[in-house]
Parts: sequence; C-alpha cells; structure tokens
Amino acid sequence: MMRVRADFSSQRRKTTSDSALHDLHELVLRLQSYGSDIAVIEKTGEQKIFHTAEKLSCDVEALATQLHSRGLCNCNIALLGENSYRWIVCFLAIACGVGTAVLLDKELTDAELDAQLLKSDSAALFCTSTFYETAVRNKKENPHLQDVFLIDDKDCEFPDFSQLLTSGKKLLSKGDRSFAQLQCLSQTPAALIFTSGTTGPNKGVLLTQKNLVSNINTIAQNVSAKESTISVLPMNHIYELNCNILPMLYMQTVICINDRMRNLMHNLRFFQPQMAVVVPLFLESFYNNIWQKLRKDGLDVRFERSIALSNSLLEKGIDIRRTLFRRVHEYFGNELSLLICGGAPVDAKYVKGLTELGFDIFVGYGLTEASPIAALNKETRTHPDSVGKPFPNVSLHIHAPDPDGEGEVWLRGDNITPGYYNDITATNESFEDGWFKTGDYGKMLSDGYLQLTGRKKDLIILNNGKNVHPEELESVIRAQLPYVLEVVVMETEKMIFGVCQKIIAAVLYVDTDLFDGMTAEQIRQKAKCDMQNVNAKLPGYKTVSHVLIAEESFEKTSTNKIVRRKVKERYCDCSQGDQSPQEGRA
Amino acid sequence: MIERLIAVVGEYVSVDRKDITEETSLRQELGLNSLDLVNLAVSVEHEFGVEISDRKLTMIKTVGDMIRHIENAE
Repeated sequence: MMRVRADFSSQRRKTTSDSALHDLHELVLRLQSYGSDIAVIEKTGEQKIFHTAEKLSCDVEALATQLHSRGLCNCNIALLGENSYRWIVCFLAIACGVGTAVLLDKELTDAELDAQLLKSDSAALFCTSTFYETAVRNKKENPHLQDVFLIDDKDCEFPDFSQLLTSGKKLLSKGDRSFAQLQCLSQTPAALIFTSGTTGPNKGVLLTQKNLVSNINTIAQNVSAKESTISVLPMNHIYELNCNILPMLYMQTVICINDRMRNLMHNLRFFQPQMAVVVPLFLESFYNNIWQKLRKDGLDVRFERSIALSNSLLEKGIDIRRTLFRRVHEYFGNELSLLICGGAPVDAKYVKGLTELGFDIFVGYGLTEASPIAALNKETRTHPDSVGKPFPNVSLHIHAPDPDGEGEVWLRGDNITPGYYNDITATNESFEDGWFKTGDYGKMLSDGYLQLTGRKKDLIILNNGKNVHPEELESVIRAQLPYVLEVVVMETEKMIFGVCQKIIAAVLYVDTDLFDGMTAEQIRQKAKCDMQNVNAKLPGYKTVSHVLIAEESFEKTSTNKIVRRKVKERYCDCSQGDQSPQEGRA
Repeated sequence: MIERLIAVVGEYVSVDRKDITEETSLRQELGLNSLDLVNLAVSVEHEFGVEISDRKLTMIKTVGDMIRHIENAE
C-alpha cells in the first residue's frame, strides 16, 4: 500500500477575498487557470491516478464541444453511474451551458430508472457499463432518447468517453469555438434531480445556474478550505455534488474518490483526506466502529477516562484531543479532521461522541430544493441540538409560529429552486408569496440558531439521507394488492434482536369479502406474503418491514382524508412487540 | 450451501442461527443498514469466492436471494 502522503499544502487555496463565482462555465475556466494543481485523485489497484485542474478543464471543454456538435444543446442529458473523475467531467460538460444534467440514482430499480428517464425527457444518457442493459432497453423503448454514451470504455454499439473526448479534441484543434461561446444565464436550469413524490411518480427538482453557484459561494465563504476531501456519497446526491465536489473544485481542495463503499476505511488511510461530507449513518458507523475496536483492544475504560480529562481541559481552552486520541485518528488515516453531516436528522450523541475524540463535526440543514444548504451548525460542541444559523444569503421565516415560537420553516434566496419539472401543481403547492415551504417545523433560538422540531409533511427520512414518501408506497400497495381498501404507511420503531431500529410499517384495511371464509390469521398471513412480492420490486431502502391489519376503516377528516396521526397512535404500539395478534412481518 | 451462508450471516449479525431461514430479509428482519450490507457482502465474497457487484447488492433482499446469487456466480 502506498503510504506516502502527497503534500498539497503548496497548492493555492480559495480565499474569501476572491471574487464570487457566477456560473459553472466560469468554474471550468477557473479550473484552467489553476493549471497543474491536483484537482482529483482516483485509485486503481494500489496506485493513485492524479488529474490536474487544467486536464479536468480541458476534458470538460472537449466533451462539451462534442456534445454541442451532436446537436445536444439545451437538452436534458441524464447521468447514471458510480463516482469517478469521468462522472465529474460529464456533469460539468453538460451543466456548463450545454444543457441540463439529469442526475439519476444508481440504487433505483430498473423500472424507476426507466420512469425517470422518460419523465425527464432526456435526449441522451451517459452511463457506466453496469447500466448497459438499462441503456439498451431505453434506447429501444424511450422515444425521447436519441443517444447513449458510456462513461467507462466498453467495446459495444454506444460511443464511449474516450471516443467522445478524442472527437471533441479534434474539433477544438480545427478551431471549433462553441465551448467559449456557451452562455450560462442565471435562470438556465443546470441540474434536474428527482426527489420522492407525494403522489405517483417522483418530482424533478430543477436547479438553475444561480441556485448551484449560490450554494457553492456560500460554502466557500463559510467553510475554511482544506487540502483534501474524500468523495464518499453518490455524486448524484445534491449534498455530495454541491457541498463537496463543486465547492471543493472551486476552493482548490483535492478530491479523492472512494472507489467502493466497502473500501472506505482502507481508502481513508490510503488517501489521508482532511475532510468528508457524510450522512448520519456514517457518523453512527464511525462512532460504533471506534468503540467496538476499543472494547476489543481493552482500551475502552482508559479512553473514557481520557475523554473526561480532555473535556475538562477543553473548558480551559486546552485542546489535546488529536494527540490524546491518536490511535483513533490513525484508524481514519491520521488527517481526517472535519466531517460535514447532513441529509437527515442526526443524533446529537454521535456528534458529541466524535467531537470529544477530536473530529470537528458541522451539521447542515437543507433539502434538494435549497441546492441544498440553508443553515450550517459549526458550533456543534456548544449547540448540539441545533442545525445552526441560517446562511447570510438565505432568508428564513418561521411561518405562523405558536406561542413557543414554533412554526413551519419557509425559505427564500438565490439557492431556492424555481420549481418542479413539468409539475406546476406541485410547484404552486410548495411556494407562497415567493417563499418555499419546506414542510419542516422549527423555531429560532434567542442566539439566532435554528432548532428543528418536526415535520409537517409525512416524509420519512432515513439515516442514510434517503427520503420515503408514505403516499408513494401506499399507491404501490393499493395498485398491487387489490383487496386493500385503505392503507397508511408510517415510520415506527421496533426492537430487532435487542436493538431499537427505525422501520417502515404498513397498516392495511382490507376487504374481507374477497377472502371468502378465511380466518383473520389466514388473511394476515396472505397479506404478509403478498407484501414480500411488493418489496421485491422496491429499492431496498423503501421496503415495508411490518404489516398490520386494521380491524375497521380509518378515521377521516371532513374532507375525507385519513387522519394519519390517529392511525399511528393506535397502531404504532402494536408494532413494538412480536406477540401482537394483528402483526405480520413482511 | 445454506448452512455455510447462515453461519456467515449469523456470525455477522450475532443472532441465533436457528432464527435465520432462506426467507429472512436482511434489512427488515436482521436490521442491516446499507453499510452493514456492504460489509456482509465482503464476508460472503471471502467465504464463497464469488463477486457481488454493488448493483447486484441493491437487489439482494433476503438470505435466499444471496444463495441464488452465489449459486449463479459459482
């Protein structure tokens, strides 16, 4: 294993005095000016592959020129694949003024990928060979899809990345100036990202040039530049793209690409990055792994004493955490000092635990529609239960606060989406008087920090940052189980082998006439079995873990809407124990 | 095959082996999250000498799915 750490300390870093970025085309031009500074490092075997900023810029220019020459201007172009240098080149080549990059989630099922490709009107698809069959199927059946390009090189009927780049470079050498002439208007859509829809298919969030660069500039102004970062989350996730990849390219922080999730700990030691952008699941995993290892080595008691000592010294302004807990930091490559966490609510226990061991944890609050960050808590040690102060360029308003100051969080600013793709109804429902209604409840504390208190919408947010709309699953269940008259999907907790876990449960009110003489137990068994088939067609994170059968129709409002809260109150406890007569495990 | 796989799974999630069957779902019943699944896949690869791609892993939901994948890969 290559242990020698590359030294990037001599590379220039973005400073707050530098002028703000205006669009992604300008970012590509700035990369050109960063010259031989390293922008991205990949790994092949145990070797590092270095990509300079200048090379990245030139590759983007060649690919954008090639796309332009193929007539793919002002089109939606989908991007699907694993994290890589080439993924970044493809994204920038599309979003630097050529068209709109449709960012597809590689964890989706084939049916969902097909639906999003169709719904986004994508004229072209860039994908890795992992998704070759998806590409072939869509090229044949999707009437909008004109071109398919492979991000990695594979000998097949579709042009690959290297061929496109070679052709683009030839055009440039012949004097093609189309890249230089590309115009990025601030309101031009740059990215289209699907988020869970409240009804039927998912909603496509449009993010303009202005939206994306607003967040990039804010990150650059509020986070001190580090020498290197590691890209762990999928790049199609707005949190990874616009809190890590794009701002770090701009800030001249070297991006190290984690090739596979299973190699993460190895790669932290291999690349020795100084920061990472993560979701709460990682903080939990890091924390649990550290203590598991310490217990195994018989060091847990000693570390607990050291933490008490370190905490008392910290109160006096003496910080010896990284020296005291050197053994822990060696496990993470010795350089990792900053973890920016967002995408889902984070348990303060893990933030506190890792902070005590010497990691700086910033907790962000945001959503795809806010490109994504609206507030960032950089003081998690003193404000563990807050999501921080709103960013200066984001207006935040607590709508209709109750006597405790708690109300719905509304946002306005350059980072806020203009709306959903081809969905005027959803757009109108989400905005009021120019404010975006987040659906989150919160209140402003006296020191200007925002505290979140709950959600207005019934969105289920998992600790890996994935969002699940109950209505979406309810619609799938109703469509596939014809005997279901009413269904409510909700988040609940269950003890699984002694550990309390968040799970997704479905409460079904069924038409017993269709079961012709079957006992309640037999009906339950049938529903449980059928739910396995429903789950088989869903992405893993959306699967329904528990099925409960309601004895009577659900309580409704005057407008005939199910009162979800009442269903949860009545059935939530039932899912706690394995002995409930109404329960069936899916 | 199934006994070997159950041994790997049972050791990994520290549960009684008799509680694990082909129908046992990895996420819902064993409570594995996406990072746990990645680690379990590595253990299975070592035990059986087969490759489980990240894409394939997103489609493996039960112990039975895992068995079928190993059988097809061998």
